[in-house]
Amino acid sequence: MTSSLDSEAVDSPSNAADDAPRSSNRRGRSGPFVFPALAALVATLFILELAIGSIPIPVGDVVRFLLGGELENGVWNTILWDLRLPRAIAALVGGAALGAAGLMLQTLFRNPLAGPWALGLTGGAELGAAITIAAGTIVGSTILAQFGFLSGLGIVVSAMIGAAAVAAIVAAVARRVSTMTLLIVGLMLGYLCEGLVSVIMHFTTEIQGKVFASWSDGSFGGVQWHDFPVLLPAVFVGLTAALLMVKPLNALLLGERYAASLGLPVERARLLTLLGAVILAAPVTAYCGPILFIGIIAPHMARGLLNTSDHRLLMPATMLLGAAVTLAADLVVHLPWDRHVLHLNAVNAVVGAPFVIALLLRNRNMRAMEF
Amino acid sequence: MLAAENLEIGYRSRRGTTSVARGLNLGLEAGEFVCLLGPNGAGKSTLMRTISGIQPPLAGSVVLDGVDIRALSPNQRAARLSVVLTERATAGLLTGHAMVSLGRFPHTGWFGSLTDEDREVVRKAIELAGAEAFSDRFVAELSDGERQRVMVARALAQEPRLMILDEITAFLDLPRRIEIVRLLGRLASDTERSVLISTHDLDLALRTADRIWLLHADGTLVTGAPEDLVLDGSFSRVFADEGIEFDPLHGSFSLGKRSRTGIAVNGGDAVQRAWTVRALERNGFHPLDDAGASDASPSLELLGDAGWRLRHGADVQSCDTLYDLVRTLKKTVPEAP
Repeated sequence: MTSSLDSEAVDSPSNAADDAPRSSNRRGRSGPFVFPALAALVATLFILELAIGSIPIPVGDVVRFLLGGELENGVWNTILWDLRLPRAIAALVGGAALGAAGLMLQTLFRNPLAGPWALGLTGGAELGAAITIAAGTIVGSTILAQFGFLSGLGIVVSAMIGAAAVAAIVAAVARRVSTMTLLIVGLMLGYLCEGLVSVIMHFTTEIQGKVFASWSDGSFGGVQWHDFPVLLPAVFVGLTAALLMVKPLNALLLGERYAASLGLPVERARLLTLLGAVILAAPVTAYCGPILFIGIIAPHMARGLLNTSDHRLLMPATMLLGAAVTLAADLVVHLPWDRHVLHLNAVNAVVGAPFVIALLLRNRNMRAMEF
Repeated sequence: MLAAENLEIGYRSRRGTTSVARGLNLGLEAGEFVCLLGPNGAGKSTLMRTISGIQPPLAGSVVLDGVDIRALSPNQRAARLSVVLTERATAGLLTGHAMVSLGRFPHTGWFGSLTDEDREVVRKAIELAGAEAFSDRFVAELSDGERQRVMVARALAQEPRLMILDEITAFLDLPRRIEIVRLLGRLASDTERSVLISTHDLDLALRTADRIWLLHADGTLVTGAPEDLVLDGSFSRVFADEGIEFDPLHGSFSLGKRSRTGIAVNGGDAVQRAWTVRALERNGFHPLDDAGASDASPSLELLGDAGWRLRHGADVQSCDTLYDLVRTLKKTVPEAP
C-alpha cells in the first residue's frame, strides 16, 4: 500500500489549506457528503420507525403526520402520537446521547472499551432502581406508592441518583489517580453495583423481580410524553456540552501531560468530561433502562467512517451514528414478530459486535492505533 | 530571556519534601541552543519539568521574559513555552498535519478552528522541521525519526519563546540524532527562540550546543560553553564521581582499563596513526612519542598499506590488521606492574 502516494495525488498544495486532518486512506476519506448522508440516514430510519410495526402505516401518511397534518385514520393518529413518536424520539436522542458519552469517555480514558457501562454509570443506575423497587417489601408498598415511589418516576429518580453517586465517587478519586486507575475503579464500582443488585433481587418478590427486569431489559417503548420535560433538556445540555468540549478532547488525544503543556487545565477538563458523560448517560439509562453497546460502537463507527480522531468531525458524526444505530436496532425490535418480543440489548449485541469486528479487521489504521 | 536564581527543585509529598537539586543559577538567551547533561538520577527530568512549569520549584522561581512562569495561566504559559516529552504522544487517528495543528491550541478559540494565519504557521512549522514529505500520513505510521520531526513541528507551531525537548534523541539512530540536533540548533538561531534539550549524547552536545547545563549527581549545576566546561575540569569532576574517566583531550570517555606498558609509535600518516593510537588506548596501552620511549619499551612501526611492524626486544612481528596487532601485543607484551 502506497498510502502517501494516494494522498499526494489528491492534495494539491493549493487546496491543502484545509485544517481538518487529512486522510491517507482512500477507503475512509471524509467527503463533503458524509454529514448530509448521515442526517438523511437518521431521518429515514426515524420515519421507518414510525411507519413499521404490528399495524403498518404508509410512509406518506407518516410524513404528513410529522409535518403537522391530521390523519383521517384516527387509530393511526393515536398510534403515532401516543406510542410510536415518543418511542422514536427517545431512541433518537438516547442513541445520540449514549454515543456522545461513549466518545467522551473513550478519549478521556484513552481506552477503546470505555463507555457509560465501563465507568459504572449503568451499574449505579441499576442499583438505584433495584433499591427503590425492593424498598416496597420493607417499608410497605402502599406508603411508597403514595409518594409515587413505585411509579415509573420513582425508578427514574433513583436510577439517576445511583448513576450520579457512582460518578461522584469516580470524580472524587479522579484528582488523585491516573486515568487508567480511574477506569479500573469505575469498572469495579460497576461490578460491585451489579453484585449488590443480585443480592437485593434475592430478597424481592416475584412481582418486584419482574418490575426490575422490565426496566433493566432496556427499551425505548416505555417513554411517554410526560417524560420529555426532564429527558430532553438534560440530553440537550449534555449534547451541547459535548460539542463545546471538542477542543479539549482533541488535546487529550495526546495524553494528559501533552494536553497540559498545550495549556489545557487537565483536572477541570477531566471533571467536565465526566460530568458531560453523566448528564448524557444517566437520564437516558433512567428512563429507558440500561442500553448497552451503543456508547462503545457509535464512536468506533464514526472513526471507521471518517478515518480521523479529530473530535470536531468525530463528535457530530458519533451523535448521528448513535442515533442511526439505535433507531435501526429499535426498528428490528418492534418489527411485527409473530411470537415474542426481541430485546433491544440483544439486537444491539448481535448486530453491533460483528460490525465492530469487521470494522477493525478491514481498517488497518484503526488497528494500528491505541484506539 | 529565561532566568532562575537559587532555584531548588524536587518533590513535595505528604511525607515531606525531597530536594533533588538546590542553588541552581540558570540563564537562557534568545536564539540559544542549550543542552542539559548529567548522569541518570541527577534530576534532569525534574529540572526540565520545573522549567516547563509542570512542577513547582521548592524554592526560588523560574522567570520567563520577566514573569514568574507559575504566575501564568496554563494558556499563557503554553503560548510562551512548548515541550516535547519523552513519552510517546498517543496520536489516535491523527495525521502529522493534524498533530502539528494541535500546536495552535493556545492560540485558537472555542472549537479550535484554524484561521488562515494559523494554517500558515502550521505550514511553516512543518517546513522548518523538514516534515513536509510525511505530514499527510498518520503519526502512528511514522518512523521514530519522522515522528520526532512532527513533534518538533508541533512544538514550533505553538510559537513559543522557549522550546523544551526531553531526550529527543533517544531511540534514534546516529544519522537521525545528528539531523534532529542540527535542526534544533538551526531553529534556535534562525527563529530567535531558545531551545533547551536534555540528552545523554555527550559527543553531540559538545559539538552543537551554544551552552551546556551540566548537572552533577549531588545536585549542583555548572553552565558554560562546552569547551569552557572541558577546560575548567567540570566534565572530569562530574563523571569522575560516576566512576568514569572523562578524556579532556578527545571530549569523550576513556573506559579506565588497566594500564599496560607504553609503546613507542613511529611512522604512518595522520589517519593511520590516530586510529592505531585509539586501538592501543582502547586496550590499555599508552602510546609514547620518541622522546618518552626508552630502548626497553616495545616499538611499533606504521607502514601504511603494508600494515604494522612490532618490535619487542629481539622479537619482530608483522601484522596486517589492528585486530591482529592487538592480539599479538596482548600475548607478547606484559602488563605493567
